[in-house]
Amino acid sequence: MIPRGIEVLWEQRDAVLSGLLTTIAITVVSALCAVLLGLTLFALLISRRRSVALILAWLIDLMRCVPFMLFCYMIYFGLPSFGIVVSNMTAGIAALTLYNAAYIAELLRGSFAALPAEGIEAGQAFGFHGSRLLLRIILPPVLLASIPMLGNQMVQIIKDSAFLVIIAVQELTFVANEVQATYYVPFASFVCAMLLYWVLCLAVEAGVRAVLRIAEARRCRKMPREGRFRPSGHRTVQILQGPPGACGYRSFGIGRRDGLHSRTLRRRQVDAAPLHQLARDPGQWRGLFVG
Amino acid sequence: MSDRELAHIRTRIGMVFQHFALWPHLSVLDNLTAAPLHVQRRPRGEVGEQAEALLRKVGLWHKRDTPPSRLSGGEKQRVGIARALMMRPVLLLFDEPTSSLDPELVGEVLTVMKTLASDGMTMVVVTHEMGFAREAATRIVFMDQGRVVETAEPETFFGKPATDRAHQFLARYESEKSRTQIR
Amino acid sequence: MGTGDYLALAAGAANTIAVSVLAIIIGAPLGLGLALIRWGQVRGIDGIVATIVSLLRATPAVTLVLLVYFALPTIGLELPRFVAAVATLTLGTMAYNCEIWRATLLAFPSDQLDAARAFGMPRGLRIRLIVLPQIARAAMPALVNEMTLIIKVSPAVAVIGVIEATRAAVRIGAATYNPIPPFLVALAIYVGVIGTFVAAQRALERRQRRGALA
Repeated sequence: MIPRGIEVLWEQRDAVLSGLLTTIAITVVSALCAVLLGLTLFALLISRRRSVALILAWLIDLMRCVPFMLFCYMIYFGLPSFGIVVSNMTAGIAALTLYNAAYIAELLRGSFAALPAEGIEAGQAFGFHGSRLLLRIILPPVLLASIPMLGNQMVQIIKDSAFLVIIAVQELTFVANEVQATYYVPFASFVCAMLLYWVLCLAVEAGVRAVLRIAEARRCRKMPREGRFRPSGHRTVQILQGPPGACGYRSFGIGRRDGLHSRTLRRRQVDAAPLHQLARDPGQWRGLFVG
Repeated sequence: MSDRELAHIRTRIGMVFQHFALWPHLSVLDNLTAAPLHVQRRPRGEVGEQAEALLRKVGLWHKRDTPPSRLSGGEKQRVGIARALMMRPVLLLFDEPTSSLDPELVGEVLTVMKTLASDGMTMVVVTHEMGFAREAATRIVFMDQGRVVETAEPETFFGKPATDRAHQFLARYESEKSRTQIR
Repeated sequence: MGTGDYLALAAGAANTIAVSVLAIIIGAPLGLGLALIRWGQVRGIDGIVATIVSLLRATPAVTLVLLVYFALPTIGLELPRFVAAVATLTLGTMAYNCEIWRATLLAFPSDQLDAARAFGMPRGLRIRLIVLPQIARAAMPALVNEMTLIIKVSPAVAVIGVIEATRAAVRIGAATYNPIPPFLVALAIYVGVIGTFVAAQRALERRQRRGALA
């Protein structure tokens, strides 16, 4: 029974592959649109216009009580009632996008609420407002914190795409069903579909891990080579400034705290300067901030 | 006042926060350059140079690429002060800048602030550091329960406070100070 | 929409609730069992359970229900529609429950277990007296959330012919060529049921937060 199933599946691999590719295409398109729409909804959710934010929050809460299959039917049967005629694939993608955009907006709002409010206060204090505040100060930490949950949502989209079988979209489950109905190999067919969905989800999880790694690497670029650390716990800094002279490297008059001031050292290692020594010469500060 | 006008005014006022409020997704250098570049729209070269000079002044040039989460409290506050100075403000606001710091590091930050003050920068500082207030301030505003109780010159305030509440406060402060005096 | 239609929708809603509730009741203990097995960290079984859970969590409900209803008879297990529907939802929720319980177990403070061991409590007693009551409380919000997810996924059983609320609405709509009213009624039913669960979840979270501060 099972070897025959595998044989049949191998013969029908083109169909199965096309179903898989359709699923992937639907998922990718819906995911991209849902993320974009979700970001827009998120921006509206945290806007200071309370009426907009409240209405939107209520709508999203409503959306989270609706089963996706019902929503899909509503879009598919409901749109023609308003005169909009679309293909079933478009209706399916639209349903996936709208449904998941609501979840993504809620997810981002949750991350935003968990963020310390200080950074945003500082952004406003420095003159950031409106879209600049959103794009440069609010969104980056929110997105960074949301990456695992966004990955989860991608997996949800993959699984929800299977619901589109009810509106006869030729995605993986639909194709698997056709194959098993035609050739009477239900076990092999559906197990194959199950395994393919599993592979897709594992790919998403691996993608999430990769994105997290890249984000972390970008945040902490390598420390410059000038840093040198003494084991005693004092941090020393080689400040390579100015031409090497008889007194070693000059650094704004910074000296070692213990006073053992060896001027003949070729590479003077100075303690990470205590501020009161740095600030000894007020003239250095002039012109940097006044005026 | 519209958002935009408010934001414009805010670019001329620098602020240093009690809990540093550095932007976590940006490195130290990016924290300094973000507002001048994207709000004040100054040219990148000039902003970069000023940022480098300020970071070297506070002794954190070697940490310009680290994320703020890897800095100590004192380092974060130094970055906060440098960040505020980047905007070339006419007025600097300090919200309890040393409250979150180790006692060892408090002195350094206060010295920077004294230098800024002696250099002519207008500053409004919320602080509990009496000694610093006495030395550096031109005017003391004493507040209680969100209300201004007394305004005076430092000598007047610390020597002969006008209101009872201020008197009570200073008395308690003096007794606490003498009690915890290191012998 | 006539009364006949309303009755059909009510029957569909009854089916939805029946299937979901059965899946919740059977799936939660099974999920807990799997989580405890994984917590026990027996070498071979741990890997097998992890793989099965991962597989089940990645499978869409529609595919799984088709598998259970059409494919299992070929290996000798023939299930009536309703039972297949319940079995599918149970498998799905079992996998998710396993993860929820496991996360709670992993976050369980180990010093309590050390104390229990120091008092000489055998493993079964430790789990029953100390671990379970506390993780039940901690996992409750996530479990209630999972219950709402089961209800939202339950329309998948329509593909094998179980007439639940959504399917009933579609049929009425197809018969009367007016799909909007039955959909709205079905929507109201779902919002009502799921809304109750969500309200319960929020109340639980609030109580937990207050309890934690107490």
